[in-house]
Amino acid sequence: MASSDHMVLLDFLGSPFGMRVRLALAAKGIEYQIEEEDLTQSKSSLLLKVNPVHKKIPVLIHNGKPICESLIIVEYIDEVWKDRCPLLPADPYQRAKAKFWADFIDKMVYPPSDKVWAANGEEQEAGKKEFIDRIKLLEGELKSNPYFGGETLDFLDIAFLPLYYWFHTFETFGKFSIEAECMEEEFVYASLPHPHKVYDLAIEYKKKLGI
Amino acid sequence: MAEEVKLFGAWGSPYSRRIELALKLKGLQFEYIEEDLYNKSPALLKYNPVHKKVPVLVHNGKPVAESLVILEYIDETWKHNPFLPTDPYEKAKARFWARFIDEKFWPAAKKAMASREREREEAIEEAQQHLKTLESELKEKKIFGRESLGFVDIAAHLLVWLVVAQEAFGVEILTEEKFPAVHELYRRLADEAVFKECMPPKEQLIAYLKEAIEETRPHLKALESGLKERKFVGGESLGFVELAANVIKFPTVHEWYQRFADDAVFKECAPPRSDSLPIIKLYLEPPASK
Repeated sequence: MASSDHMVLLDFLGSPFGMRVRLALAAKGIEYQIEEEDLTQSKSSLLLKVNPVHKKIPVLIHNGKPICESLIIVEYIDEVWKDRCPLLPADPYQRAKAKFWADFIDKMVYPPSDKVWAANGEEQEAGKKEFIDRIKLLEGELKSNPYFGGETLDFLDIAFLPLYYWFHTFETFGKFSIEAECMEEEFVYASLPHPHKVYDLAIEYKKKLGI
Repeated sequence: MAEEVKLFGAWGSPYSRRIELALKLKGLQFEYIEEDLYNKSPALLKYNPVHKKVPVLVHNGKPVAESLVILEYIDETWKHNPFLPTDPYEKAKARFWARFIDEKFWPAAKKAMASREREREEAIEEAQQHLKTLESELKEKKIFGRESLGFVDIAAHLLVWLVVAQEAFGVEILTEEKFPAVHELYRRLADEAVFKECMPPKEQLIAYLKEAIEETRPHLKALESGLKERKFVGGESLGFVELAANVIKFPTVHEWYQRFADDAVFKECAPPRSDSLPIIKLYLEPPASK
């Protein structure tokens, strides 16, 4: 990375989507500055300026140019710093499979997981059921095509891991247990907050939002 | 080596047409397999077991699903006439806008067309908000609609679909007055030879869309009046019709229902779905007064 490169990550501590970007940056050994956005307060003028369409974090600002949407940011990082630790495979079919499952995680696993920690009663129960069903589908795929547990972190690890970090929070709010695999690499733990901290943040977050 | 490219699609699916468009833009030969979405083939279920949807591209026996994933796969495998720019930042922007069209704009547009009365006003409002976003992006930055057709133009093919659907449903979402830049893009896409080839004939599509909505309406009316007298369709207890009507809300039940609907034996014994609605209607006819 050129010494003139300036990287800023606009993030909210505990956001699994922000974590994805932090993982990608750490995997590539890229230095960056954090701008904390407090999602329980009204949105900062910086956020509204760099992501006027969705007004969401994470946003990566590379030499003043904003990139939005966590998976798009991760792909961007992979393409710009293609000289090291490739996150996506070179083969188009393998890439398509990784992107398909990352899309699955986003569309089919995250939405019910929101209900698990943020909703109550029937809605929460329905969320739990759906969440477990979807995780099982993911697990089925992973068993036959091991993505995780490789030498280095890859795209699908990055898409999934932050969700795994929230499992403790889900389990506690939802009063159930989820079995999951875990990647063990030093910088994973260095980049991410401790799962218990995530739980504490979730409690605070819920309180502030009145849910 | 002979390339084998197959596309599983459906006549009335704009996403399936999108992939046809992409394959044609690359000048590729492919075999097209039309799927009956009410009676999915074993091949489709084998190639897309997760979502069970079209489009699915099968290249030399390897399946790829989800239209934006398929588009990128096509672009990376056949590198001539590239859809995506080479610059990573421009690429990121193209992906962003394609997703915006798919995940924000199109669902809102569909909702506006399917809703009635009061809900419709709100839904149109939402769809138009998204069009406003597209409008200002087009005016300022010209991300898409450049010299050669790219990734976002292919995604924006939905605009061409929208204009036909607007006519079918009598809804005004995209108008030239309100959204001149978006409308200009729509016009440019609609006039492209390749896009024209990939659109079903307009009158046929309008008829198809109208039928899809109209077909259900008299039967829903029948269900409505039939239910007024009763607790459930069959009388006092839940029956098949309740399950059929409610599967949408209960994902596990829906999956269960899909499983037996897909079962070969069940299929042999069940009436084709298009026949079942009139049967339900008959069932609901009030008994002839004595």
